[in-house]
Amino acid sequence: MSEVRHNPAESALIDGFEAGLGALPGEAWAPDRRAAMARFGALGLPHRRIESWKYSDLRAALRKGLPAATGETRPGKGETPPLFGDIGRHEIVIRNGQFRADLSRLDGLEKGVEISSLADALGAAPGWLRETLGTVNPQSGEAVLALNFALMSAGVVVRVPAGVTVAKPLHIAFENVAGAPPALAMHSVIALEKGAGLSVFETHEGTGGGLVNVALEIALGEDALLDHVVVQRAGPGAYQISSAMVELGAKANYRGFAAAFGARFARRQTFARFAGAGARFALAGATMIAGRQHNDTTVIVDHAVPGCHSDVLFKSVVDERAHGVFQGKVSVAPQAQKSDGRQMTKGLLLSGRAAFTAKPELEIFADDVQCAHGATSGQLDADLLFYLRSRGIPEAQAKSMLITAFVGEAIEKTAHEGARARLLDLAGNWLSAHSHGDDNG
Amino acid sequence: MTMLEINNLHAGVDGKEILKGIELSVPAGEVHAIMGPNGSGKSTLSYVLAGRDGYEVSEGSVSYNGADLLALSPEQRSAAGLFLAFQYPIEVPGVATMTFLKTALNAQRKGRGEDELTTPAFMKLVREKARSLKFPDDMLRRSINVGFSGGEKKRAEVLQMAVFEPALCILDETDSGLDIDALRVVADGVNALREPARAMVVITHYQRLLDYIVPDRVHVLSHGRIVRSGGKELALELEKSGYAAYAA
Repeated sequence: MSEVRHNPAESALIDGFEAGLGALPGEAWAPDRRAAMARFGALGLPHRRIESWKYSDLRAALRKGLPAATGETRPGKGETPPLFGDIGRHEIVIRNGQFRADLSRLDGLEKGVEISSLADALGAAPGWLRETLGTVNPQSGEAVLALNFALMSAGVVVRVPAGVTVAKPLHIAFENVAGAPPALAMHSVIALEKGAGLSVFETHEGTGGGLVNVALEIALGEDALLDHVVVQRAGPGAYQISSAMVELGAKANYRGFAAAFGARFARRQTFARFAGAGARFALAGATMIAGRQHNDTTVIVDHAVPGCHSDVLFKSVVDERAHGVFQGKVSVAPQAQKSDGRQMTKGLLLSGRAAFTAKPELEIFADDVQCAHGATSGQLDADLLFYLRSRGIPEAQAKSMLITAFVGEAIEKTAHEGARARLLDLAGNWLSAHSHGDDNG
Repeated sequence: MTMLEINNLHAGVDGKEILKGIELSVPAGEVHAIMGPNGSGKSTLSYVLAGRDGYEVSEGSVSYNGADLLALSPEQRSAAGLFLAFQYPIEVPGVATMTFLKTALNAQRKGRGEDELTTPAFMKLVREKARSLKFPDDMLRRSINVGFSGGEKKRAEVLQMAVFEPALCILDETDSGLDIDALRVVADGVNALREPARAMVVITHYQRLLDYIVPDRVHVLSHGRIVRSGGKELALELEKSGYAAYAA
């Protein structure tokens, strides 16, 4: 079946699979894992000849083999306080691909709310998980998801029953530090039943490297509301691939924000699908990268039913020789009248060698719709800079103000007020850690 | 004493000379108007004085309170008390006007070696000045100039002037785009700032503004030079005869 000539990274993943299978949770899932690995073997790692991975050739990036898991363990500049540590929250810690009950706290959950580790859930294999896992807006052509399914070792399975709103945010903290395996796969499921509400902070932090493959399935029932804040601060040697599959029932509401600062190579892809009329999907984000970082944000929104609203806004700040990518696609099916789909992306280049690639797409088969998309890329505006300096603000501070304002437009969309403030702090931290604008070579 | 002293100033953009030997002397306490036709170099003069990148001085000198103004960066000029009210105030999305005023004022104070203002002291100052200029509170919370009308933008410039209390104000075509009511509000704001320690240079194409901001001296700028100077009656004369005599 396979005509793919595997590169060393692919071979390592495929050849090491059977030996590692026994250590993966949920014996009953072994046939599913084998089938997924066979799919991955046939597809190979995604590469530039696959249209949706054109600008992020993971296969080429890993041509020499899997990245060293702990390639760099450079500690951060001064210990930063734990993210969202000042916000009262439930916390689940997954460190180096293992759920850590000792570090997790789930106190006083509302009645009927189920939160368990993926390993436990796979072991217990409740019927609804069988029916759900891998079925939320499935992306069968995505090799990284086949690989994820084959190797998934940890994650969170959340189910909020009808009508229940979880008061405190649920923080899912993925940490990747020294001692992690070179390829990690985490898989989570968040299912909100009719009228349920939840706020999730998803963080990816640590100094570890390696190939980190994250999948998250989000199923929102009718009238459900999910606030979702994602912060990616992976280590400088990490290859961080993250996929979120979102399915929205009638009048469901998803409000997401994704910040990305870390990793050598990162891609976060979101696939949203409207399954019921009158639903809303909003996703904003900010990326701040430098050095030789590569960061790809891909958002695919499928207006499959009428009367839904989507709004996507991403801002990228790219310094030194980094490369930012945004791909957005809004598809409106023939029957999806009264759809409203918006996407906007802006790149801010702080260096002459920085690059930003934007590919916004609209695919509309209905006639009564409102859709708009736009993309811009440029440097700091000299007029703005002079205006601030003419008011006494020193050049470096004026640049910081303008960069903060640039990402601030996206951060302001974050629904959770406390998270919004912390995100602005993170943008400020990034700015103070990077000298910017003086590299135009 | 003379606050601003410009001697034989030659300057231009992209190697093209626009100012061709400006001579100008403005003492503290006076308001000087610079009038001239389009293309005479009025805006270039304002940008050279404020220190905008890309404006090259090839000859001459500008001294401000006895120091070499041209050796200073734009932010140093601001801290030293120079303020340029822009012909087209810039919109700065994402930076609230209040935050901007505070950052700028404290940066100027720091540049002068003064302590930063506390937040309550700053708020009190801005509220007072805003009230006197009929500048609504909700505009202070909005991004600088974003969504402001032409008149509101000019009023915002005058508010900045009132808050920063500069020693030398350069007003570049402050009347452009204003209807008569807005013009009156802006002019009242400017006139309230007239005092013996402060000098103003009012750059304008039309005499109309000078009905409201009455200058001590009027200079005619043509082809990059001051070709004539006189009292306020010179403005009225120009209104009647136009710039034809100077355009050739």
